[in-house]
Amino acid sequence: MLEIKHTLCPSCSVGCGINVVLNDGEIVGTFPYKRHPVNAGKNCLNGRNSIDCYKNKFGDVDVDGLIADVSKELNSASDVTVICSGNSGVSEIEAIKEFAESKGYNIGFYADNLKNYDEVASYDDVENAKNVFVIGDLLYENPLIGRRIVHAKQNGAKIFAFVDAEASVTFNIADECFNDSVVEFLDVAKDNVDESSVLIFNQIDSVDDLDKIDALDCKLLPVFSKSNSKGALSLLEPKSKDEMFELLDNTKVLLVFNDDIADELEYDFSKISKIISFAPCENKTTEISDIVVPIKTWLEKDGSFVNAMGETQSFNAAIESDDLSEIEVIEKLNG
Amino acid sequence: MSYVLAKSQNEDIHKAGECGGAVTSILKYLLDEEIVDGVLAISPCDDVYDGIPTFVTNSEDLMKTAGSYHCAPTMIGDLVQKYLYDKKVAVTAKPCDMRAIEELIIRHKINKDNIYVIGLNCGGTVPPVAGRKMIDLFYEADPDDVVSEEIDKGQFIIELADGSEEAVKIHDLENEGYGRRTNCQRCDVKIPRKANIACGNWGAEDGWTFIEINDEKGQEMIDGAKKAGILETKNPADPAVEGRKKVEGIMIKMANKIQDKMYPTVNEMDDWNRCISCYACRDVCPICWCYENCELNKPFFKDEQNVPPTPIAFQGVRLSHMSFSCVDCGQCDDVCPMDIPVSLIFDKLQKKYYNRTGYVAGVSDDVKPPLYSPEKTEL
Amino acid sequence: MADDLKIVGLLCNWCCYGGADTAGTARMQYPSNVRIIRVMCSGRISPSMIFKAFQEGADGVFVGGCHIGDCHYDAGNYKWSRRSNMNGFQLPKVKNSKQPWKNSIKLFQS
Repeated sequence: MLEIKHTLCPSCSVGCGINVVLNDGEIVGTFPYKRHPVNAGKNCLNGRNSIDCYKNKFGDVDVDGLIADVSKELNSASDVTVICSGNSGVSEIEAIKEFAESKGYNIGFYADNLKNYDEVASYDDVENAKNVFVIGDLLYENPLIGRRIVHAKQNGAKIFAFVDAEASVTFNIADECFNDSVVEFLDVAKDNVDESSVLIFNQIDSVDDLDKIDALDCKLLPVFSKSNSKGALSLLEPKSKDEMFELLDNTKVLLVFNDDIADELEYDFSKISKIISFAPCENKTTEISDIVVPIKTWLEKDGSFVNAMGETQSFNAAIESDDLSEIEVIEKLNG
Repeated sequence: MSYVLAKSQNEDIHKAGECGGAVTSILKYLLDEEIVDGVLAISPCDDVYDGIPTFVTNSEDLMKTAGSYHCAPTMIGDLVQKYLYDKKVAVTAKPCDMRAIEELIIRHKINKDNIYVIGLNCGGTVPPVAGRKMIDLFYEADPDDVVSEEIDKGQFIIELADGSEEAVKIHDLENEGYGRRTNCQRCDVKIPRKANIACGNWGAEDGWTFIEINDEKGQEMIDGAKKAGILETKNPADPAVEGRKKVEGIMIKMANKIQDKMYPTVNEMDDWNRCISCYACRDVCPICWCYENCELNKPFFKDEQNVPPTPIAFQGVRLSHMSFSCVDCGQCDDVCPMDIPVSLIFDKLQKKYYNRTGYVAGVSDDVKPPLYSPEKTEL
Repeated sequence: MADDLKIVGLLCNWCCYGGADTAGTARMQYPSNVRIIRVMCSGRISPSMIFKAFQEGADGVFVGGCHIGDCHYDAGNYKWSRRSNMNGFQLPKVKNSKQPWKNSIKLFQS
């Protein structure tokens, strides 16, 4: 039986819609979700490949046994750090936060070295801007925001782009290209901003750049690498790269909730005595973990993500599953 | 080929369906008599702008697919060949769906014996997101209040929850960059004559569907539904046949005019410049069916390290593989994250190819595109 | 011909390649910037090969096949002649404006 169901793309914080195709109860492919206001049916390669995470799920394991092992580990542990991530939905992050606080664990939350802004530009603001400043190869990495930049260009906007490379797709459409340093780029931006300008960025060189960005008198739109980073930011204080390293230095037991921290941070994780990972499928972190507990992918649970412009979008489970969600894992850990 | 006017004998279907509910009745007949395993038709999911293909195996569920949706630019040829190859299915198909199905039948990806196609005459589809914006801008109505929409006599008409109607000329909408999708604007195949039957309201009286029966299978469908007592038919008067021909003629003439205007506007190199090689156009294309065997997946065509990607290989290979079979369904435009007018470029080449060889993808009767025929002739 | 042009020559084993070979043994000169690839028949060439050549930086592609009617495999050159026609349409659509090359796809008959 063929079915097509709506869901959200979990690949980055743009918040695109995507349809999944179910055939005889199995997810077999994706289908454009043309009614979705953010992307109108357009998805990048990452979005269309996002269901691989479901296809490569961990096989059947004794989850209760694993949870018991985790509980035993936690009972005798000190200096526990919980890694929370933008891959989890809003209610899950709340549950993880409550869990960590009640047990007195540290919380590590990393949002691409960026921070939270209460006021951000909407995607329509980008299209209507006179000047668009871009840090990062947005066209390639977040194509559905890149599309808004293309629209802005078609509306007559001037595009300034900084990409840390010799050539990039963003440079192909930019009027002025920079690849030396973010600082230099922000100086140029400072001379050219007006109130309709928008600064879009998905990376920075160092934390000091954030102060410079704050000083700019224009709308900002930070774009994160995870679907709910923006939602997590309103609940948790993000840590910079250096702060994360410091936290990891003081950690003996690391609990990673649905995140691939080993891929993101270049840190010697062998210094941590125990790493426990809750993840739906294999990634770099589960490879170095001592205990891996399989959990649900986003396709198997209801939830909500907050996209880069601060809009909360909810989604329903596309398929049923016997695995545990983050919330159910925490309930079991709490006994 | 013969013509017939038809309407449903079933009261519920008559009320829910468009133009007498003939299409839904025929689908119900095919399901009830177990001639097909299922029906693939469009039904609205969240609202009228959200038409998605739905596979129905129970004739009671058919009611939710009744009615016509213009904000549903879907492609079903692809779904049939990917997921329903081994099932007997009935599908409702716009001309571009039908052209894709025909091309896939030629490529042995769809079994002709397994598929029953109820063609729908089509004046064009409207992209859902832009369509809502259009209603907000050009109509004094809230897009959420719209209960149904219709394209008739050069107007896009919306019906509101309170029963009132509003109409704006499509020409005016399209001048402002709204209205139908661009590929629909230049589409010159309005009646799917390769389908078993082609249904529509052109030339029909109110409450009746005008059906063009294209082959024996189509005739059997109509006769069977009549025998089952679910369909009522009568012969159309000559003026009705003439009227339908006239509507089609006007639409094709308009499309040709738009083609002449649109083809020179595209600047391929400028547009390819934005290409991020995400392969969305290839993956959604109903004609591209090789999947993992695609030549572009071969190591010698992969340029992952190359950012920005060079479109010469990606687009060039795709152009050489299937541009002569482009059915101009516009799916590639719809899914391109960079808004590259892919289908315009491909369709332009198809037209060039047509001018040279007379081959129209999914319409011509030649079994093989002339490019692949063993004939000893030069172009 | 300018020396800095790189031309990929796809030559049919039965005529054009034989011709080039004979020219070589007879010590006749032909331009050194043609890189010859022998194929068994011009009908064996797929348009992708042409695009690949351009992607790798060729300035032009030369295809040499048999006389029409003389194909060693009956009709291979007819097939290529039709394909080359399509290729001719397609190439201007993808050529990189920053890297000018001559649109030199033509069916040369030896």
